[in-house]
Amino acid sequence: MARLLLVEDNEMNRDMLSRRLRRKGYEVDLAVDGQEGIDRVRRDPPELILMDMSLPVVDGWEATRTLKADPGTASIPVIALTAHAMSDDRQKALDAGCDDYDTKPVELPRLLEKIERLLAAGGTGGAGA
Amino acid sequence: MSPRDPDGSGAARRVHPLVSASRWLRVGGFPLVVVMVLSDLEEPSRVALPLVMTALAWPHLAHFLGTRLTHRRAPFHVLLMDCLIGGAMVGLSGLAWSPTGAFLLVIIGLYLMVGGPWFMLQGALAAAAGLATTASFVPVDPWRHPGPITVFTSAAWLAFAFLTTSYLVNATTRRLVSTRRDLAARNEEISRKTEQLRRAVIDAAMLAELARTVNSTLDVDEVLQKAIVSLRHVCEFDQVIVAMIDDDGLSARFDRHFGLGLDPAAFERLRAMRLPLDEDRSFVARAIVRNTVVFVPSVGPEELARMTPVGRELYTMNPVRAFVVFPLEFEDTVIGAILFGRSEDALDLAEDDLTKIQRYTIQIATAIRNARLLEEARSARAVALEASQAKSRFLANMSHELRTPMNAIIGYSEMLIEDAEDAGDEALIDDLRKVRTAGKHLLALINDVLDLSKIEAGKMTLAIEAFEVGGLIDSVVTTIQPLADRNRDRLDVTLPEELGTMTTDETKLRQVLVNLLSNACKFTEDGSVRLEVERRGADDGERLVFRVEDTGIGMTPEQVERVFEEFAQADSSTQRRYGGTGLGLAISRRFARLMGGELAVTSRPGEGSTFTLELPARVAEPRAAEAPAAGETADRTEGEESHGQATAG
Repeated sequence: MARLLLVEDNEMNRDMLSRRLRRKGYEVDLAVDGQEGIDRVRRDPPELILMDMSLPVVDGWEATRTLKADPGTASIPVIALTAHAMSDDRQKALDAGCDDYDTKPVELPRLLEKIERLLAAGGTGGAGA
Repeated sequence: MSPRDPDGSGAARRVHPLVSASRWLRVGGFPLVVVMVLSDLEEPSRVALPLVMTALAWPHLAHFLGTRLTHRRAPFHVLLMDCLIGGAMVGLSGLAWSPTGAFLLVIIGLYLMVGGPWFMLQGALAAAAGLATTASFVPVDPWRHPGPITVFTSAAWLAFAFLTTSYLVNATTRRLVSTRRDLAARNEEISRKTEQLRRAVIDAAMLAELARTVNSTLDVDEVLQKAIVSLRHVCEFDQVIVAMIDDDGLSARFDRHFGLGLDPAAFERLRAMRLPLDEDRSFVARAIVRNTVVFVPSVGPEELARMTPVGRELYTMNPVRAFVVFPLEFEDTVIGAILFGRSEDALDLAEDDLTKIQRYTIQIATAIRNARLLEEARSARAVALEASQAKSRFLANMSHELRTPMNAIIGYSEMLIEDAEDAGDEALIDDLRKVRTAGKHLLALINDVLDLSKIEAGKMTLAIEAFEVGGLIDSVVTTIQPLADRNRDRLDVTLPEELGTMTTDETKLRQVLVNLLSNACKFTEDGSVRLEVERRGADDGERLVFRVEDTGIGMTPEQVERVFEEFAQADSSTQRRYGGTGLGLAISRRFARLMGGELAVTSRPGEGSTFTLELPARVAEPRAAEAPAAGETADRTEGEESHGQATAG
């Protein structure tokens, strides 16, 4: 099954979402801030990244921009998880190069659908467009 | 000059002294003429009586006529009658040269002096007429030798005329002198009045200028400066100090000053001091409390002894030689006092000057009041702005701080539901679903409040994308069906064959439809809820109409009127019974308008309600190239397109 990276600073959310995803059969790596997320992707690239936006050290938007600017990591799809269901946050996420977004609280079936769609597209969906 | 003259002194002054003195001249002159004539007659007894009677009566009759006839030249006409009568008397002498000559000589001389050549001629003619009249009845003998009495009386007559002339010359001269004096006095009066008028004009102009300043500036210092400058034509003040009543109304405080004497630091110290208004010794307090002008023309030991601590402090900082304190009144209320001071010498102000200065203080009071009102309005606005920013911050924080634990609650309860489903623990599943439902309701409430505050702050934007209307309706119906089932309502959906696509904010449209349908289900029991969708118009005018009709409790016209207001659920008991945030319809209507449409309602109590949502099929999006100014919108459009692709892909 696919290997995902979940970048999320809130411990409960990280625990809850990673356990639910693992239960669905995904291999889930974890990072607690944007910088750690970037480092992990560079060291051991996942197939897809779930990126929280409000992160310490380097925020989700900046981390996504960095990854999408690097030819080595640009093709990895990123799904933004926006804490606020605010269209401007969502918009900023898409502008930063995220391939899709989902709002928290996560509705698992909807999120799974998005993950599967991006994985099926082979990591080429809209990246850097 | 005659006190009986009803026309006043002006008219009497124009009359020649001869005219005004004529009564006594006649009383003296006519008897002389009579004696002069009678003494020359051989038989004087024949005419003596009428002559004497005439001589006695005529002067008074003439005077009576002269004063009673209103015609301006009446006295002159009477003078001409004098000539006629005198001439008639003298004519009886048979035109003897002595009386006739004396008579004519006097007439010519006097009348020339009184009325000029033309009047002299008239007099001479009148005299000639008189002479001719009586001379025709007697033998004419001009060269007759006059008797001694006739010569004497003729001489007396001439002497009388000479004296009269002298008197008249004297009277005329006197009159000239007095007229010149009158004229000089009148000139003086005129220039005094002109000066007064000039001052009044300056005063009015200065006051108008000050009023203009008051209206055009909110800078009180500028107004005070202008007032001092404007008041220069009344008095040279070199400083002005304003004291304002404190909010408690029990004391006053020096508020601002302008002019010589006080440095800012000293004034700050003074400003901190309270001036109790019950202190009657204080000049300022007295002006305020009694609403009166307090004028101290010269500060002496007595005034110094009377000063209050604050007053003494002020005096020590700034010794004035004289000052005057006016109450400052605004709309019939004393709001403070204003002190005009002079540091060099004593003040000499008349009542009139004080009244004048008071008019300026009214303008100053208005200026101070305006400035205060502005200050209050500014600080109120700053407070409101601060509150609004605090509210925004609070909402943003609440969004984050409440959502994060809500995410955990909902997420973990879903996880546990999955666990319980795997374990087949039905009782646990039911309880966990309640936790999840409650969590979702709470989240909905948070979202509603946030939505509304974002709309109010103008920060709500649209996420426009193309989508299948049919798909949206299906998912909405799936969401609503359980609610309809709960109240045993029949949920009917009427759709045309082909619904097609819409290009608008799908999330917001879904939110509105779910809100309308859940309301319909909530307020309807054992009835029916109908959703009808139709497409109208074509091209740019193409619209979609969503009609949600129920057979529920309905609303009164009053309730209909308020239904789109925030927290406007019919009443609190309704809210307890039916639940909900009370924000749904307010948000729905605003969303509808954001998307370029409208949400309306018709309802009857007991019969149900119909909500009609009409939206453009495509929300107009300015193309980026055509709207360079709308950078934000252009970004969003581009972003939404890529999002649309991502979703479609």
